[in-house]
Amino acid sequence: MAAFTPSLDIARDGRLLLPWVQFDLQSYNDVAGTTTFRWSDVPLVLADGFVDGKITEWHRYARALSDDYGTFESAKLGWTLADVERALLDLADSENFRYWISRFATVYVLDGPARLAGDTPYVLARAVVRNVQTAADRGLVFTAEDFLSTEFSLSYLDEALPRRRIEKARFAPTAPEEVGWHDGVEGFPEPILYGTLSHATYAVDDRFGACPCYPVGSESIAGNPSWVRMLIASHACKEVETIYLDGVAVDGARYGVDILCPGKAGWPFGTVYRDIGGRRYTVVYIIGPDATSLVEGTIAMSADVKGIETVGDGSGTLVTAIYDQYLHWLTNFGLGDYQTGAWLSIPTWPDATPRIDSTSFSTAKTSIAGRVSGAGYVGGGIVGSNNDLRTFRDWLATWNASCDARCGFNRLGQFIVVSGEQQTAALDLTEQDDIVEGSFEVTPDPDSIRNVIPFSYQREYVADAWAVENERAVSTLSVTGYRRRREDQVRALWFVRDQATARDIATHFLHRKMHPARRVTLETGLHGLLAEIGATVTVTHADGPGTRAYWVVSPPAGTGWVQRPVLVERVEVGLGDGLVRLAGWDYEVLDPYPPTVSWEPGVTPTGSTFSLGSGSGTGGGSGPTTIIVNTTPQSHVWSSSRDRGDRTASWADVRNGVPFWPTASGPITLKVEQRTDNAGTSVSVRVYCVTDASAVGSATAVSTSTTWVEREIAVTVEAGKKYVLQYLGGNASAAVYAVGSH
Amino acid sequence: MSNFLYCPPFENQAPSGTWTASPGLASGFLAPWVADSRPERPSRLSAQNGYWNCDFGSAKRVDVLAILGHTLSDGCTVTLTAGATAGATTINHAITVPAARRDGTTRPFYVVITGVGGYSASGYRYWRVTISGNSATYCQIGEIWLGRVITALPNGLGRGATRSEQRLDVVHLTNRGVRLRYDRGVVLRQITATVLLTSTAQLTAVQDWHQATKGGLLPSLIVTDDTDRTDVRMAVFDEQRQSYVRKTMGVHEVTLAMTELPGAV
Repeated sequence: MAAFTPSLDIARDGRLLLPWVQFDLQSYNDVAGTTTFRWSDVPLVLADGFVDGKITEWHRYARALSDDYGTFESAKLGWTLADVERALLDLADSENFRYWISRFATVYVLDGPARLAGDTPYVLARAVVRNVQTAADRGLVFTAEDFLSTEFSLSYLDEALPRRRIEKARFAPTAPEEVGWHDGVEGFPEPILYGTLSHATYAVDDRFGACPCYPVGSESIAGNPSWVRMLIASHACKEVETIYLDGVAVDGARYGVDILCPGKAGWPFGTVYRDIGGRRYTVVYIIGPDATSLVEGTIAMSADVKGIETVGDGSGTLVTAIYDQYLHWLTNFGLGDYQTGAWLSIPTWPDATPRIDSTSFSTAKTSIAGRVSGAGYVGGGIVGSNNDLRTFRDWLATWNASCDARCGFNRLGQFIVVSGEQQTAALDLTEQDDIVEGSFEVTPDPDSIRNVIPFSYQREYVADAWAVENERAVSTLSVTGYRRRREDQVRALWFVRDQATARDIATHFLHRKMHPARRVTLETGLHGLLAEIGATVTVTHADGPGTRAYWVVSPPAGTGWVQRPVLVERVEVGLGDGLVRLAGWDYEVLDPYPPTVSWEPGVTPTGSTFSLGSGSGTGGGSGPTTIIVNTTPQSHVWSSSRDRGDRTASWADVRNGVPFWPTASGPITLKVEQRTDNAGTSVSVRVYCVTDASAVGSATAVSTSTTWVEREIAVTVEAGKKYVLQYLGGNASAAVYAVGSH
Repeated sequence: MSNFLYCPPFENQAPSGTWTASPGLASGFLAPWVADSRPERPSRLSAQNGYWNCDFGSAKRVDVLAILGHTLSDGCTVTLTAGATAGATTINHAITVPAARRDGTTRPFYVVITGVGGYSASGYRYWRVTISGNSATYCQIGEIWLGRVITALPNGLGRGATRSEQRLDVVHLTNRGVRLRYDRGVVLRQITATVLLTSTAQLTAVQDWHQATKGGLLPSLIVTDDTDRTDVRMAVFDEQRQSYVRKTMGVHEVTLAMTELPGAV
């Protein structure tokens, strides 16, 4: 049995066009099975039965790629039904069949010969019913969308992810476990780690681990109930490389003594992971004074980790390619809700069609395999670190940016990705044979020019800041040629950790945006369905502007377009009128790659990254704070932590204090919060220039309060010099932290 | 001179019978669909040949048989049998299926059986339509009309009667005039004519007919030219409003505008 596909021959021969929609009305909670309805706009006789011609109008079905910023258009489908016999209307009060939303609908197409031959129908669209509205004369107006927009709730795309949250009830429900519990982490998303997260790998200050660790209760090990459990990840990891305390790598001799780490000496468990309360985790254990300090939040633990691997128990291969990480996250944590065990499979539609087209991910990955000197895009990052909750939609945009990808839904209702300039030839459309008269348009979009692309990469999760922020890729040629500098919004590359990849992404994006885009629209017959979004069609049309065709052929002057490649960004189908409208982007506007790029440096501390303690001191409150200190022309980043200060009669660095290297000179204002446990005992705070071995100006704040008091310190800093925060006085319970503001 | 024949919906006996089929039905099809006044919803047998059987429960008069929306091959045989018992052949009348049209659409056909051997105005309980010699892939009929009586318009169609035919499709042109065309597979025949009614009885008959269709909701069986056995169709009035123009005392003129119900595609 052959599979029917639309072809130009249908329109040439004037064959019968046979579309119909199948509505699978699943009973509520599936207690009464599924009743299937089939309708068309003409009464159809198929091999397996009759399809009633009750559809009075087919709504246009549209699918599109996400835009350059990850925002995608929901795939929409709809029809108007004349329910004159009240087959559905009378179910509106049915106990089991009165709920119509979140049920599946599939549109099929055959032509006359294919029907006679018994061919498998072509799936034109698959979606989930979002709404059914009554209309005049027993009409019902159906609206359906892709599964991300409708499946779990009407606001699925707005669901906050990660779903798994740190819960005291899971980790420390009763008294013994509570000893190691920190209230400040309740409700935090459980982090998901991808790639190699290690400072040592990136040749920066290796004092600090890449991944924050959170105290989540105590556990009895070998009869000792005082082991504090430190959460690293919400799954098994390939390897925990190094543990840091307060920014210092722990002595290896401590493993198996007062620190238990998977893969290290003395780890007492048979697996590198721990299943707790039905969920899988990567944790380390610590006991002793440092454990107490961790729980109190006066010191911090961090780790260098190799994250998710291919199996789910730590034994597989580290997942390093960003496209593979994207697919893995979407399957297990986006659509799926991984808890424990082996990784989840891609969820399917009722007919077993996977809801994600994994082939699109491998195709996209292959298309960029030659980038970064043949390494492709290798990435890593943490989903959900530092209470980072985002909507599903925002996470898709985040992944798309790090992959230089766009996403959408194909006709099978599958989620797909397409890399930025992936070229998959699909269809050749000509003015003579294919393009409906008057429908071909090429519209320049001068507002689309972006010749300055700011981007940030290498997220430092302990510091909760970018290691490189707002670096800019600039096309001087475009700035000069169009007489204006057009800066794009910052591309935050959350899963990119190296300069080469980040700059490659920025370069490709700049390449596509440095000249005005040309939007192409045309209409053709139903064979236009063969042009899936993200594919390329070649267009031959005498009205096409220009003649250059470096991709395929070089046409003679005066002929307009000859097989001009156009990336299909949007497909709109009208079953009622048998037309497919394609909207796309003219590749030819691109100069040969690579463009000439000038780099404007971002904010990078000289040789160091930032470390941040977590948790709270005796004063309570939340963990680390990231501060932006803005001066002209650039921003500075200074992160610090709450910290316990011991009584001191002389100025001392705030423990776990963060050094600060401004990249520009000028005034800044710090907000410092401080208190003392002993009223009447003063705590002084100042900014100290390590380079010059001197305090900076009048940079002192004094407090005698037992409650937290915020003060401002105004200082003038000089670029390239090292500064620290210092305190004087107080007692064992005093704590300070600094927040910079502008 | 040809006559315009009509059979109002209340004269169609077929929906009141109990229908079965042999040797069986194709998956997804039902036997009663062959007599549900919906020619677009056919009944299909599980084999290329076989029969549909109707049991009225008691004897009913049938003067006219019409077969519409079928897929039978040219020249095969449709045999109408009827009798007091199931399978009886008191009436045993064979009809040759007419050749299909040039566009491949099969032709409906009808036969008035008042002159057929075994005919009785009292009718029979069991009626059967048997297909033999069919070589088409499917044995499928959209509608079997068993009319109690069929009536001729007494004065025929007036001068200027218009018959039209439309095949539904979708057509677009490229810049070079090349056509992108999708056939919808639906052919609609339509007739518009004026009819002179020269007596009160004639007027009443037409009024009854229109009322029986509930303003055009229910289909009638019409034959616009009784010299052509393939001219039969199930049709509905185009307008809900039916007007009768009094020309002179006892003489009325009425405009009939009717469109055929399409069969299944």
